[in-house]
Amino acid sequence: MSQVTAETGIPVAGQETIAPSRGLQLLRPLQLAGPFVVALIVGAIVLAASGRDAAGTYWLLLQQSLGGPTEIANTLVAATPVLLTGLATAIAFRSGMFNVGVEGSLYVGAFAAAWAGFTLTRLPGPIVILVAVVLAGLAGAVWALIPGILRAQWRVDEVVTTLMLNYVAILLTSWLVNYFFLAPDIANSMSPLIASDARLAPLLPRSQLTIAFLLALVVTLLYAYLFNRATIGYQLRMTGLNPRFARAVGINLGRSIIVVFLLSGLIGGFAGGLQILGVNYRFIDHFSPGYGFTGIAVALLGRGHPAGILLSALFFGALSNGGAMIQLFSDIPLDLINILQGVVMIFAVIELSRLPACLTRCSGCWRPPRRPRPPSCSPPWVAWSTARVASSISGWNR
Amino acid sequence: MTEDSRAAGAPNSGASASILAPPRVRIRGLTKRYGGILANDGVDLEIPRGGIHAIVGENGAGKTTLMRALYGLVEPDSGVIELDGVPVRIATPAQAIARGIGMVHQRFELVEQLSALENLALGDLPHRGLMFDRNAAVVRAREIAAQLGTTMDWDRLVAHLTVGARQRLEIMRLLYRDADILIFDEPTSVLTPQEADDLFGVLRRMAGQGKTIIFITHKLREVFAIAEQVTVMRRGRVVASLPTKGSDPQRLATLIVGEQFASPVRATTIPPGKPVLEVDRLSICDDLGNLTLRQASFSIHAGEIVGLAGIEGSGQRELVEALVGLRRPVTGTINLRGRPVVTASVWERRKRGVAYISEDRDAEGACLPASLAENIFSIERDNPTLARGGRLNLAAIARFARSILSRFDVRGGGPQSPARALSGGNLQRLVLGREMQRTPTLLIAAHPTRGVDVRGITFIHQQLAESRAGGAAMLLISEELGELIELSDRLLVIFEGRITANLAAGEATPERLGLLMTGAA
Ligand SMILES: Nc1ncnc2c1ncn2[C@@H]1O[C@H](COP(=O)(O)OP(=O)(O)OP(=O)(O)O)[C@@H](O)[C@H]1O
Ligand SMILES: [Mg+2]
Repeated sequence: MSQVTAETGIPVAGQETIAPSRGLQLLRPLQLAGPFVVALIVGAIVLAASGRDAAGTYWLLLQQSLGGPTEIANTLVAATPVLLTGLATAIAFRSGMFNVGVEGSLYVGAFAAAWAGFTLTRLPGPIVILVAVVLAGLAGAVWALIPGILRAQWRVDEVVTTLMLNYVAILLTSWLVNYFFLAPDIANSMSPLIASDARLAPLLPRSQLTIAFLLALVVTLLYAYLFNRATIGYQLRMTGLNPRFARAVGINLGRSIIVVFLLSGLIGGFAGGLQILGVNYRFIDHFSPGYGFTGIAVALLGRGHPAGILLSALFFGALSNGGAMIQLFSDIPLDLINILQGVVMIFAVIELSRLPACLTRCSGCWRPPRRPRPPSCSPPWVAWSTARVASSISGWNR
Repeated sequence: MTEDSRAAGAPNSGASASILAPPRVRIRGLTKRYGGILANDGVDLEIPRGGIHAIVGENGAGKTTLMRALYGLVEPDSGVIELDGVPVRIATPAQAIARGIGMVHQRFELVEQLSALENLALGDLPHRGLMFDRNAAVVRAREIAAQLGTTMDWDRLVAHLTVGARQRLEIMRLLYRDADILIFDEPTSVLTPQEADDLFGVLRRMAGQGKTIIFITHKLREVFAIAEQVTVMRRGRVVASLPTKGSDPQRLATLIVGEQFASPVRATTIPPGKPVLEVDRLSICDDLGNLTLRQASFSIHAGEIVGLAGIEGSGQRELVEALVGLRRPVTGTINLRGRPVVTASVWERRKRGVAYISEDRDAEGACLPASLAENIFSIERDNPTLARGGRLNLAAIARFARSILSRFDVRGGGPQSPARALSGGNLQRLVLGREMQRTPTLLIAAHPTRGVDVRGITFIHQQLAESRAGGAAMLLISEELGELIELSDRLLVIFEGRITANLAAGEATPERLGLLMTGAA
């Protein structure tokens, strides 16, 4: 706490920070962990209600996700795409823009990378990888630019455009792969395999852990740098916190919007490209189980904080990896894992900080930005649930 | 240190209150600490039923905090609140409202996306079955507007209301909820003198009906105009509570500041230099597409303060926004030191020396959730010692912020405190400090002393005068005609979107301005 001497009003030198007191800093991890703990409790109730041994199930889940080097590696593999989509979403959210279209960027990015991988077969592997990653990022960025321009130029609500463009991206890539790039020897809707030396090499045997995860970590660091140290990140943050203020001090809102959508789409595109190069090795129609949407959950749950995003991505990674494995060893349905995810999501959106009054003074922690309109509901959550419902109806999200 | 001039049975206009009845509100030993800052330090306060009670004190003295505690928005660390002699616990505004306590905040608490009518009825919707009974709300709204003696565009979104209209709406909300204890936190800081007088009429009428009114203000003549009793706070404590009868503004000012206090001296005028701002036949539309400024032409020279007088909503806001670069005019030109800037962005203009003190401090002038350092840095993004090569120098920014905080005497937080934690007046100093320290060539100042205490006003007036002596051109917008006349070298009067008069400092009197502003002359 920087004391201000009553007489002079001059802050006492040497004491830097005032806002979050020491007690608060201790409470913040607790606050972040809250949704997970509550989710596990609710999950246990559901398990018990369906006559299963909750503790045993959790133990199995834990073993399958973190029990050994291979399990951990697979958890990291599962965490990679959602870490990237989480960061892509968080960049937009922190800047006050509700880009729920990362899924779309992911699809076009994935398709671009796959195209480079199966077309440029004559080039040496590392170059193909480089080209594929760059193309994936560019494709994602250009895709996100569409709603960006619509918003910047004509104030078209980006929740609607980005959400809808997801479907456009998914169906567009589906069309491309089914009509133009179908692998000759397979009946399913898949592109040809990418060149074998364009695959990312596993860092661990018997796993698909590749440099992709490390790249995602680098992006996390860049994200932290952007919002804590960079002038442009400062401008984006102010735009997100108070756009009127930002305008009055001379921040160009239109430019902020374009930058945000470009960055967000770029990272979304990377997420798709790296998934192709490191895991799938080809573009598969409707391949994403909703990475972009889980990214929304990751961003909200992490409260936009880089470490928080990393942790929630790891959590979702562990859940999906452990959940997939657990089916092989028990009769627990995958739906239960989905319930867990859903519950975590719900509690992520509830501001746990609201419960004890003292926590509301916490200024340093980021809360999901409030949209100007409509006041009573939280649009990312609405968008997310709409997307979830829509996706389960249309069936592309299985 | 309590000067015990508290008379038993303070003068009281409500006939119902007897000397023996317990006071309507009694606060005992109320303490509230924010980190290292004691916002309220053992406050004792008694307010009888049916009177108007003023609370005065320097910026950051703890007035708002005390009232927020009474209204259930702040949980005191210790202390007792009694209503009619009965100790009560007020933990939420809902409980306060249920007990008949209503508050108009220093910072508006309206839902911008709803209409004025919806805001009025919010929290207590008249309904028929499950449906919002709009007609009943309209009837009620009309009644209240009539009671207050003002009008309101009930279907307009609050986002499109002027600051003054929002303030009136806040007051109407209290009346709508039949509050019996009404707390006003600097209600007149955004009202025109005429509106303030109207408000005082209503307050007196309500006090006469037995309602208890608590009134925070920095304007001492208001205290003497309407309050029977005044409490003075300083650094979290009550230092005096006295009847206004038999006291005077000078004595009160001394109590507030805690020392003898010199009245400001008017700086000598200097001959104006070259024109800095030239506006030629400027016409501007508002958000709804109405032409609110028509063919305005004027200029401001270096070393000159030009005051803009007018009833709120006469086109000042649009003019200011066009000058700053926030609004594109329909026709006309704006020249800054001879160069056209009509199409220049806000940032380009700021780099050419335009500074802007917004009329809406909380929504536009400052970023409340951001830290003080971030608020100050906002217009220093081109300062190479603070940011270079796209990279922030956080240590330098904190140092820079600290220097501004001390130079402009911003109390209540360090560089890393959120702006939200500052008291209203201190935040105003921060905004002013941020804008003034760049030694602007053109300062556009809307209500620069809004919410600032007596001493702060003197300080700010000195700063403005210094800046003028340094050759700055200034456009001053204020509802305080006294302030306008005192500071300005020249006065423009704006009426229904037209500039109808251009007076030299000597020619302007409040009466003459008043007539011009209403189009009567
Ligand atoms: N939420 C908060 N967090 C931290 N400090 C606070 C908070 N609210 C108020 N304070 C501090 O408490 C002190 C009293 O503030 P308060 O708003 O009550 O002053 P005030 O008398 O209303 O001043 P003003 O005339 O400027 O409105 C100030 O130093 C302020 O910085
Ligand atoms: Mg106050």
